[in-house]
Amino acid sequence: MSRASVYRRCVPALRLAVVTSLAWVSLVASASASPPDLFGFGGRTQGLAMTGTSYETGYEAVYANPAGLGAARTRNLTIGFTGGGYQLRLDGMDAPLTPPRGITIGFALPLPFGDILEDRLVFGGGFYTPAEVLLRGNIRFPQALQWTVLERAQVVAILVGLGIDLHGVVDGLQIGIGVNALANVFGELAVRLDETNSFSSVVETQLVTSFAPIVGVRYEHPAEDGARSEWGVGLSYRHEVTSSFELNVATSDLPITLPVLTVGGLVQYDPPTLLAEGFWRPVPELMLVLNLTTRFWSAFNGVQIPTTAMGLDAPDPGFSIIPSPRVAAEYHLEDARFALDLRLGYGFEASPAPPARIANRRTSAGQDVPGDTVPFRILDNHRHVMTAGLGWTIKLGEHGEAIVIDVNGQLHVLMDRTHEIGQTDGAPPMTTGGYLGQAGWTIGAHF
Amino acid sequence: MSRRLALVGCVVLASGVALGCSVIGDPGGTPDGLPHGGSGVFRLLSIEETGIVGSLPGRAMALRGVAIESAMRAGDHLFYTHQDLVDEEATPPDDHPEQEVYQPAFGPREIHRAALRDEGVGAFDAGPRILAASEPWEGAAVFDPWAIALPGGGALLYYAAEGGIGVARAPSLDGAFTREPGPVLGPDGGAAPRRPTVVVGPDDAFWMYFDAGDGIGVARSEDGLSFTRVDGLTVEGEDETDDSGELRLANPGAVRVETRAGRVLVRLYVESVRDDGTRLAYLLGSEDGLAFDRFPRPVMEQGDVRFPAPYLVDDRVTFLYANLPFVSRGFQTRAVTVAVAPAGESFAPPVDESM
Amino acid sequence: MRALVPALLALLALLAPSLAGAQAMDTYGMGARSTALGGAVAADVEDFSANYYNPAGIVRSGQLRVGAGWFGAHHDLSMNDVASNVDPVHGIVVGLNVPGQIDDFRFGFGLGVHLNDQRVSRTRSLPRQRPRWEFYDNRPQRTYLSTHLAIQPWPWLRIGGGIGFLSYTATQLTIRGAIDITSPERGSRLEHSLDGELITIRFPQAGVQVQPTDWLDFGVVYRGEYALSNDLTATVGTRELGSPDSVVIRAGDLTIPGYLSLLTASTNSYSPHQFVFGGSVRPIPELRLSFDLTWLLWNLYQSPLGRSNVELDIIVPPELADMIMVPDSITPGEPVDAFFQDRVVPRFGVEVTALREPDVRLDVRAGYFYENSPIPEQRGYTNLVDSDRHAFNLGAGLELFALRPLLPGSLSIDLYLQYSFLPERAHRKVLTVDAVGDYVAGGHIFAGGATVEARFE
Repeated sequence: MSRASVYRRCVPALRLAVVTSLAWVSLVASASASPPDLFGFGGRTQGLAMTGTSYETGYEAVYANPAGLGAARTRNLTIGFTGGGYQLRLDGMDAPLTPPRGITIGFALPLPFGDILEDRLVFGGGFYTPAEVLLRGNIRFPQALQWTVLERAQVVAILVGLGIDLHGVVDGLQIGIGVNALANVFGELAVRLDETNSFSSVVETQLVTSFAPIVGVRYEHPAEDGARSEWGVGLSYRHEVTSSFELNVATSDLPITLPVLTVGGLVQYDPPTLLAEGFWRPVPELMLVLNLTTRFWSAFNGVQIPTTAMGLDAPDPGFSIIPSPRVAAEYHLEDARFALDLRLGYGFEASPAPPARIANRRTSAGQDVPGDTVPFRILDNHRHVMTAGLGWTIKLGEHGEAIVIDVNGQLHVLMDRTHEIGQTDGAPPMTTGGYLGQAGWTIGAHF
Repeated sequence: MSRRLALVGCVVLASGVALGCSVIGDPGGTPDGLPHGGSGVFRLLSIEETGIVGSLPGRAMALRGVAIESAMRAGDHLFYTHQDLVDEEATPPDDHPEQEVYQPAFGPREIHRAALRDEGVGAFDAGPRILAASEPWEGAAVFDPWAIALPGGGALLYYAAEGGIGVARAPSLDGAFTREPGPVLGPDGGAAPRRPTVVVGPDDAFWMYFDAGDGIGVARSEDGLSFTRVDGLTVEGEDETDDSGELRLANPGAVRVETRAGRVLVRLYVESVRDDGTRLAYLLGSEDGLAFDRFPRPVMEQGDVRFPAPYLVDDRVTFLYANLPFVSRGFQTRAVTVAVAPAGESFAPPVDESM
Repeated sequence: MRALVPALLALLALLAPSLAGAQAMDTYGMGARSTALGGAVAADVEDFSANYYNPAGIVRSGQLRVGAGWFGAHHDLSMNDVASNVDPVHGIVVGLNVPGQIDDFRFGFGLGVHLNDQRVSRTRSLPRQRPRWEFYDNRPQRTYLSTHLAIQPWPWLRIGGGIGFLSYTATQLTIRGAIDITSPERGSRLEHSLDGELITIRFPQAGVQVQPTDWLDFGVVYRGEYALSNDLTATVGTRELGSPDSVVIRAGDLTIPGYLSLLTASTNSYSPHQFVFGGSVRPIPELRLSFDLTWLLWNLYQSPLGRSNVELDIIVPPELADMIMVPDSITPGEPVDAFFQDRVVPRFGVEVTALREPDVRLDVRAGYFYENSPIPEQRGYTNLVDSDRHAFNLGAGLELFALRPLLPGSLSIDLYLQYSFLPERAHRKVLTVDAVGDYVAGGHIFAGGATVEARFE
């Protein structure tokens, strides 16, 4: 390949990259990015209705199914941006909620061992960093309006995974493990007499990581050399991801005894999730995907914690187990220099939350307190999710070297919902609805 | 091949577990003891620390029917002014300040010496008289003792009397004291000096600070026996708690401090006599014995602190002996108290968890 | 091609993230080989520690390198001969250098992680006057995670860099309800809301390596400045009587409204601009000598002590005056100037190849660096304790070549030991009545570690 030809191929890619960068920069003030659980992770799978458990073999597999990493044969490094906008409605009025925006980075690295480890191990990583914060947590009084599901958007995600290809044992079978790391903030504020007999405080906070494992298995029907597999299936499980904020305030040496105050709660929660998926190519150019994602929201215990050891907790959120069906299609066009992928997808995301209601407070042990009720205003709606995407591959070499650009967009339509109580005590029942929009692009190098 | 794959898998899994286990929070370490000048603020020792059961916190000696003033510690001995209650029928007149000892009800002031108690920390058993007024210049009383051990052996006991300040000598702090000809410091045109406090200063001479009636006076001596008044004592620094006016500084108690950085300092604990009748304890410090800095806050939170007298336990911990008001048998007297700096230092015996 | 791929990579490099700070790296080094050489490696580093020492080195070897190791440091520091019990630092280091080549243009991607045991990071706000080892007490308690990109436009020039991302906490807290002082745990009924954020800040890191001949290397590195703050705004109750957000103190039948507003803001972790200039020479193949000079602009550090403001309103009825004492006024805390000075750190390293066989190579290493303390003698109110530091390093590395076909390349195993001597330093206070008083501080630091790195050809 001559340098001139490479030059010609790179110019459009670079122009697009620069223009899109500038566009993104100009959108920073109003756009925002989405976290993996709400909008998916990666430029390709976000355009395919957040699927990927069965077919994805690039860096996006660290989230969709780390087993897919095992099939990667070229190194790739990808970076991109995603941003979104919320148009939520509460009783016909805008309900402001900070939309997410952030940077996506991913890589897949086949480890070039020989012998039995040849084409065996692939290490991958995926990072999502919100543009302004690594973590934002809001713990509100139970009576306050709170979009508990949609507000989980301002948090960093650090994912690493290892895919293992079991070729030679069962050709086409891969298994994978990975972890999703999240930060927990723990702190202590101790007020006491110090060495000078004056009251002073010692504040100490620690960031401690919690790891949520991701495991998966994938089978892709072996194809002829160079051909695309006709079908494949994948199964993946992501353990729940929690992030806590907890500050204990203890006072001593005071003339009166104050209780130890515990301030904080669960600022981030992704439920345990089981993903089952299959893809089928009726013709080599077309891939159809069917996915069932089940979130075990019933494990969610609420975000609030009692302020004192014997204090009362917020009511039980009462969330349910929610299966979400998703379908997607990808059409592939290719010539010697370029490849183009057109993507469409649809998913239905049922709400795990019961309507806002009057509910009993709980003891710190989790038991309802009869007669002690409080308006509990968690707001959420069922969503229809429509996605579209485009992938453009510029081939640069004969060993898979390429630049890949993916763009995608999503529209989440919130089905109107009427709750049992109003915005304030005594007000008529409130209704919620609206839209979520999301768009993003990635650019990656395969080498 | 499967076994080799399994082995690789085990290694990967073990690495993951090791990574996961390496990020578990713990509370972290705390220093064994932070640097502290031991200069203040002071906390009264607790009853558990002094070991004097049935008394009040900080009490360094349990005596009833006795007025005690100007106690100071030298070595394992407490030197103090002792007055027995002799007239329980006496009635103070209406204009007698209620916080002051009504002298007609008590006998003449004498100097006693107490020995350290076996139990507790910083507290003493009552001791015998070691000095009573006998010289003409002394008048009817001797008081305000201040004893020092001499570097080459022997001990000196400075004291106040009606005619000024005298000194007695003993082979050791627990020996019998014999008067030197006195007074070593008499009136200088004004009131007779009171409350002598003597330290070996930064220049290795003997520096005596005393209550001159209108402030703190200072005198210097090469041998500890013949003193010459020195002018020029200055105090720098604001009183941040100056919500009632300070009339004068009085009744100093001095200590020589050799810091870990190699400096020799003189610290003076003094009474700040206020226009509302209270007396607060303050700290002054100096490198040369004359130019003093002032700590901006009282070093004890109590409102009527008399005769503060420091005692260095080590280079970090200081006990401050002082007199606090105490009503005994219906009469206003003084009790000897002991406080500690740093306030966070604890001498409480450990709790026996086996019980 | 030479113009375009670098442009693309430059765009990516601008976005390549590094999470968390480099204090632990600054103090203890990264990777067994580089640390054994006293950190004097900016000119020719090429293992995974290039992710810290000079990101240009990521592309130097052209090999895929995957490394992991363990490190530990024990502090034997004291003030006035009393142990300060500064927490040890230990954890794992992981890194990889991923090379790439399109046409004859070489580039690389690197990842470096320094993950402390126990915690990802810790912030500490101590009473303003309390003595603390400013550089060792809490600063190393931070994770380092960096990704960089590097290019080699010509065989003699390598350029690498990335943007660092860090975060600091900002917390707003509201408490309401009732505090029962007669039965605080059982009778109090409080609830709270909280807005907590880990806010992102950015700083650049970049490096260049120049190799005019096979035996001579030069390097320049820049690490950007950052400061992390720790902000807390707390509101307990409200000044409006009868408001649902009020706080009351109950004692029997008495109810006392209370209001507290607390604001604290402090810079908890600061890292200055750093410039590193390095050179390395191999007069004979078996001998490598290197020298680095690191210039840290500590004089720009404003204040280690932040500001605080407290407002407290409690109207105590006379019958409870003995139980509840409310200060008349609470003095706001104001920032105190640090008066730090720049630090210039010379580093020396020597590496000798003791054994060279077709299947194995053994290197022995020694290094030394000297860090002058940027903190002046603590003569005033603050007690930010530090001392000069002499660090002596020893190490060895074994590289095994005969692992084919499983490993088409080599496997290196490196060890190091580091001893640091902090001479005792005296701090004499201007005020002779200072509560902390004069003190001396010094001690020793013992560190060690091992790394294993697989190098794929």
